[in-house]
Amino acid sequence: MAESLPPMSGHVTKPTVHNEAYFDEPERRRPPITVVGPVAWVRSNLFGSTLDTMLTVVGSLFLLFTALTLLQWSVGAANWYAIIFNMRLFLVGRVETFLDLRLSLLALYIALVVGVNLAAWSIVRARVWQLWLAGLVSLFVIPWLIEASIALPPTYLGAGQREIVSGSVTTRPLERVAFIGRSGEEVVFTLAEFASEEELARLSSFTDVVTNTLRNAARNRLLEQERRATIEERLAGQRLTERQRAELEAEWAESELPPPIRETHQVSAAPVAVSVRASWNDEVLASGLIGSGDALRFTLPQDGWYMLEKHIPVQDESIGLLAVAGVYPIFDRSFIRDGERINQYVRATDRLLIEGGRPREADGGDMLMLGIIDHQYKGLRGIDEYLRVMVAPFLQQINRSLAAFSAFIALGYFGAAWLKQREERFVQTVRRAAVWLWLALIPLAFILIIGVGESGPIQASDPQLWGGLLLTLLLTTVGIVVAFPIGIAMALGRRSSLPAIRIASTLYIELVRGVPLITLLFMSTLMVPFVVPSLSGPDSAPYRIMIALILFSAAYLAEIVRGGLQGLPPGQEEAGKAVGLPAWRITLHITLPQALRAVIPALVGQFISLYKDTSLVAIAGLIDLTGVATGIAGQTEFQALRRETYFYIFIIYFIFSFVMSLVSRRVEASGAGAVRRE
Amino acid sequence: MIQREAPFRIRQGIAALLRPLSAFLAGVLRPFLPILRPLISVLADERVRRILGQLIFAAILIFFFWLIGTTAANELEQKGLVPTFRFLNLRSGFEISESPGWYSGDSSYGRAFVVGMINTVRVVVLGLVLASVLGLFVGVFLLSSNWLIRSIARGYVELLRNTPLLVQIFVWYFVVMFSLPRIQDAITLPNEGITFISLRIVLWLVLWLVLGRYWRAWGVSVERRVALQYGFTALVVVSELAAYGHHEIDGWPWAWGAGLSGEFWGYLFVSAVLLALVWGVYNVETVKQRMAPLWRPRLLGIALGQLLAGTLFSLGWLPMAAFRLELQPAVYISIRGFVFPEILPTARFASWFAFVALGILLAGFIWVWLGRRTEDTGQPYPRGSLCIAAVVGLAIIGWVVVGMADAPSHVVVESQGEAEIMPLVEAKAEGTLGTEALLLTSTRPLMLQLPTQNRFGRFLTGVEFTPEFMALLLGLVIYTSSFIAEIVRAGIQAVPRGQIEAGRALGLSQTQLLTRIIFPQALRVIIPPLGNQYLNLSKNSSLAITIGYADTFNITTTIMNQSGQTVTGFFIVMVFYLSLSLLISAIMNAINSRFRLVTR
Repeated sequence: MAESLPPMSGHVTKPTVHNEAYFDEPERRRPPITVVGPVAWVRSNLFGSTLDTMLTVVGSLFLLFTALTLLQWSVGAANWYAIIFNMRLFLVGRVETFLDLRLSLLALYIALVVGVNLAAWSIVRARVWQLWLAGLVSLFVIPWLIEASIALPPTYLGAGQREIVSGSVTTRPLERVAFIGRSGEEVVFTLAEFASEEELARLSSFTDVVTNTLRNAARNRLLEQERRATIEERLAGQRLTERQRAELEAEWAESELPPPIRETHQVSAAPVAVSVRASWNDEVLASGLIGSGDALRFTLPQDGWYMLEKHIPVQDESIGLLAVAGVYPIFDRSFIRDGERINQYVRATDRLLIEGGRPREADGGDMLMLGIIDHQYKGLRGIDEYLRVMVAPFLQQINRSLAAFSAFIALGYFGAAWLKQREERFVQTVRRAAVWLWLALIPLAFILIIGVGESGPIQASDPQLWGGLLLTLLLTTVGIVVAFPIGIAMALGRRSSLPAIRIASTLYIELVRGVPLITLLFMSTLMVPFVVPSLSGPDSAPYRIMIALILFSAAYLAEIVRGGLQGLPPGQEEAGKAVGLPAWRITLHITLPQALRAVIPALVGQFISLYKDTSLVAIAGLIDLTGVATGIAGQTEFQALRRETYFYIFIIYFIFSFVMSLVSRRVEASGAGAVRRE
Repeated sequence: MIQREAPFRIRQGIAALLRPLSAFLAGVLRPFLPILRPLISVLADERVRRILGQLIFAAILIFFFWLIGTTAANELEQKGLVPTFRFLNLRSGFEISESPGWYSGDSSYGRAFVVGMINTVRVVVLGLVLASVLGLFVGVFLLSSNWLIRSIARGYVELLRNTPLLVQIFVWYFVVMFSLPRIQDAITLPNEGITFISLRIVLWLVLWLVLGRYWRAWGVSVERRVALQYGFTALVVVSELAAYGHHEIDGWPWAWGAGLSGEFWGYLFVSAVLLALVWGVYNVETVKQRMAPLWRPRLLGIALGQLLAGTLFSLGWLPMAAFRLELQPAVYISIRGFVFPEILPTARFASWFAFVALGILLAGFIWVWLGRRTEDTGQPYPRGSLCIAAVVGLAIIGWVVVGMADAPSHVVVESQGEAEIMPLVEAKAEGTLGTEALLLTSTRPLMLQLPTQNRFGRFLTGVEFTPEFMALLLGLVIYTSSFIAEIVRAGIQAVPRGQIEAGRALGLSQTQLLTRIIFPQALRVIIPPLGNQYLNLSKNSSLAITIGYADTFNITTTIMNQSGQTVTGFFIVMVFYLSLSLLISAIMNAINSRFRLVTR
C-alpha cells in the first residue's frame, strides 16, 4: 500500500477514487520541526543531551573568549608595522636586489605550473574563479574605499624646552624634525588640548616619544588610582587572611598617587611657534604661533622632504603638544644597487616613496626624521583607525603581487583547459606536460636563484644572503628532491638479499632516524668542514645545512618507500619472474612504480614534515622564515613586537602546510595513490 | 599506441649510438680473450657474483669512511683536537640553572653530561604522560556527537600539526612565559584568602546524589522522575533567590525564619491559586491533547519544589550559614617559573608503605584467584573494583594505625648556634622547625608541603619548574597531543561498527562498551603509531637549546665549545638519543605484543 502513495511535495492531494480503501490511513502531517530542518540539526548536534548542552555552552564561551581576545589584540593593540616594514625580509631575506626580478619570474613560473596542474587533474568551477576574481578586486577596492572614507588620525608631536621623566625614561622634545610629503597635500597644525587626565591617557595615534611618555605617565597614574581603589576595597572586605591583610596594609602605606600629569607638565599651556621649510631651497612655507584654538594650514608644493621647526618662545616649563594632520611616520631602508648605496624613504600610511635627499643639519649629519620606530602608532585604537593605518597599507603592499600570481595561475589554467578541450588525446599531453613543467622547475630555479658568472642577467648570488620563505622552500625542495633517489636506493638496499648491503642500509636508516635532526644539523656545520675543506666558509653554510637535510630526509623517505614495496602483493614480483624479466627490470618496471604510486600521500606528508622541520636551520645559523623572525624579535626597535612577528610566521607556516595537506587529502581521496589490484 | 612507441624509439636510438662503441671494445678485447674466458666463466656463477658484489660494496664503503676518517683526523690533529674520552674528568667550570645539588661549576664534564641526561629524561617522561592524556581527550572530542566540540577539536589539531614545533616553543617561551607577572604579583592557584562555602550547596549536593540514586536504582516511572528533576531544580532556584535577597538586598520583604507569618500564607495562597489555574487549564481536554504528555509532571514538580523552598525559608530551616575556609596558594605562576606543592614521605612512611604493599599483594591474590574462579564457574566477579578496594582500604587502615603513635613531645631546636630542647607545639607555633624536623616529627606518613617564599621572593619549599622547562614541556605536549589525537580518532574509527552494535545488542552499558569492546580493539591500531609519536617527542626535546633549557644536547654543545671535543661530544649525544629511542621502542613493542596476544 505504501508504494502506491503519491509523492509528498507541495499540496498533498488525497486520491478520491478509492477513498474508502484509505480510510484508516492516518492524517498526513509535515514532519515536526524537531526532526528535520535547522532546528533539528541544532538540537541533535548541539543540545543532544545534558552533557552535550553543557559542552556546547562551555565550548561556545571558550570560542567567544578566544576570538574576542584575539580580535581585541590584533585590532586594538598589535602593531603590524613590524610585518609591513619587514615584508621583504620575510619573503626573501637579504638577497641582492638584482635577484628581485629573477625571483618574481620564478614565482610567476610556479603560478603558471600550478595553473596547468589544476587544469590537468581537476576542473575548477566558474564559481570559484568568480569568487577569486571578486577577492582580488576587493584587495584593490577595499584599501581605496578605506582611504576615501576614513580620515587618518593626526600625528602628535611635542614641543618645549623641558625634560620629561617617567619611570626610567627621560626625553626632551625635538626642535627640528624632517618629514616627507606629496605635492598638493594639505598640512594642518593645531594645538592638542586635553580636557582631562583620562583623555590624555586614552590618546591613540602616531605619537613621538615625548607625547608617548606623557600618555604613559597619565595612564600609569590612572592605573595606580585603580590599584589603590582595589586595595581599599579588599581591605574593607572579610576575605583576607591575617598575613594578607598585613601585606596589603603595608602596600597601601607605601603606595602614593603621582600628581596629575596634565597640570604638572602644563600640557599645551603656552602657544607653540612652528615653521616649515622646504628642503630644496630652504624657503619658509609657513610659520606661525599656534595657541589654543588656532590652526596653521598650508599646501605642500611638491613631493619631497620638508623640515619642521617647533619651539615654545616664552621661557617657561610647559610642553606643547601639536596635532599634525598630513605628516606621517617614515620607513627607511638602504641597499646597494649597482655598487651604490641607495636610501629609500617610504611613508607608512600611503607608501609615498622618496629616494635620498634627506635634509642635513648644520654640522653635516642627517637631520632626525619622523621615523616609524620612534613614531609608532600607540594606544588602543578603534576598528576604523585599524583599517586605515594597518589594513590598507598591508593590502596595498600585497595586492599587486597577488594579482600577478593569480593572473599567471589563470593563464596556465585556461591555456591548458583550452588545449584539453580541443582534442581528446591532448588530455594525456597536458597531464604529461604538467609533470614535466614541475621537473623543469628544478634547473630553472637553479639558474634563477644560484646563477652563474660575475655579471650579466644571471649573475651568481651570494648564498649567505638567501633567507626568509625563499630559503625555507628552497631547503624543503632540495631536501626532498635530492634525497628521493638516495631514499629509493636505501629502501631497495634494505630489502636486498645481500647481507652487506642490507646491513649497511638498515644501519644508516636506523641511525639517522634515531637521533634528532638538530644534532645532524650541528654535526654538519661542525664536521663537514673537516671532511670537505672547500665547504668550510661562511658563504657555504646553506650547502652544509642542505647536506644534513638531504641525509636526514633520505632515511625517512627510504622507510616510506620500503612501506610501499612491502604493501605490494607478492604476485606482482612473481609474475615478473615468471615472464623472465631480470631483477632490475622487475624493480624498475613493476614493483617500484606501483610502490611509489601507493605512497604518494605519505610522500606529501614527509614534504610537509620537512617543511616544518626546516625551521630548525634557524638554530644552526641560517635566516629562514623562523630565523628572520628571531632576528627581528632580537632587534631593539622590534623587541616589543615579538608577538606580531611570531604570529605572522605562524600563519605563513600554517597556510602553506595546510594547503599542502588539503592537496594530499584530495589526491588520496581521488584514489590516484591506490594500488591497482585487477 | 603512438605514445607507447616513443620510449621504444629512444631505446633503439641509444642502441644505435652504442653499437660502434661496443664493436670497438670487442675489437680491443679480442686478443685477451683466452685470459678473460676463465674469469668470465667464474663470474657467470650467480653465487660468486653475489659475494664479489658485496665485497666490492663493502670495500668502497670502508674506503670512503677511511678517507673521511683520515681527512678529519688530520684536520683535528692540526688543531690539537684529537678525540678522547679523557676530558670527561676535567673541571666543567659552568653552572647549570637546573641541576641537582651534587652539581656545581667544579664538577667534571662527565657529571655535566649526566645532569643533561637527567633533564632530558625528566621532560620526556612528563611530556609522554601529559601528551597521551591530552591527546586521548582531544581524540575523543574529535569524534564527539556535538558539532561545536568536534569543530574546536578539529581546529586545534589542524592548527597545531601544521605549524613547526620550534615556532610553537618560541611562542610559549617568548610570548606566553614573558608576559607572566613578576614574582611579587604571581598568579596563585587557589587565590590566597578566605572563602565561604555555603552549607546549602552541601545540602543540594547530598539531595542530588540521593535523588539521583533513587531514580536510577528503583526503576522509577518517567513521569515521577521528571517531576523530581523539575521539583529539585525549582527548589534550588527559589531557595537561592530567596537567600540572595535575604543577604544582599536591603528591604527584602520576605523574612527568613519569620515562621508561618502573613507573608508565608500570602505566598502559599498565590502558589496554590497558580497551581490550581495551571492544573485546571491543563485538564481541559483540548489542551491535554495538544501538549506533550510530560508537561503535567513538570508543572507539578515545579509547583511543589518552589512551595517546599518557600516553606523551608519561612520557617528558617534553610541553612544560611557558611563554612569559613582559609585558602593557601598551592601553585605560583610567575615570570620566574611555576612552583607546585611537594608531597614528602615522612619518618613514618616506611611503616605505612608496608600496609600498602600488603594491599597490593592482597589485590594480586584476589585478581588471580577470582580470575580462576571465573574460568572455572563462568561466574563474573567485579575483581577490578575489589582489587582497588583492597589497596585503598589497607592504605587507609595503615594511615590510621601509623598515625596512632603520638608525636614526640619535645624537639631539639637550634637557635643562634645553640641546641635547645623545646616543646613541639611551641616550636611549631614559632615556625622555627625546618623541613627535616617537620618530617621527623609528623604523625602522618606523607606530608604535603605548600610553597613558601622568603622575603626576597625566593622559594624555600615546593617544586620549582623554570619557565624554560615549562615552555618546552607545554610546546612538546601540545604539539604531540595533536598527532596523538588523530591517532586515537583513527583507532576508534577503525573498530568495526558491527562490534559496537553487537555490544549494544548484548545489553552492555556505555562504560562496558568502551572498556571491553572499543578500547581493546582500538588500542591494537593505536599503539604502533603512538610509539612513533613518543619517539618524535623524545627527539624533539632537543629543541630545548633554543630557549636555554639545560638538556643533553644543550649541555653537550656548551661542553663541545669549551673543550673542543666535537667528535666525542656528538658520539655521546648520538649514543644517548639512540638508546633513549631504543628504550622507548622496546617498551612500546612489549605493550604492542601484549595487546596482540589478548585479542589473538
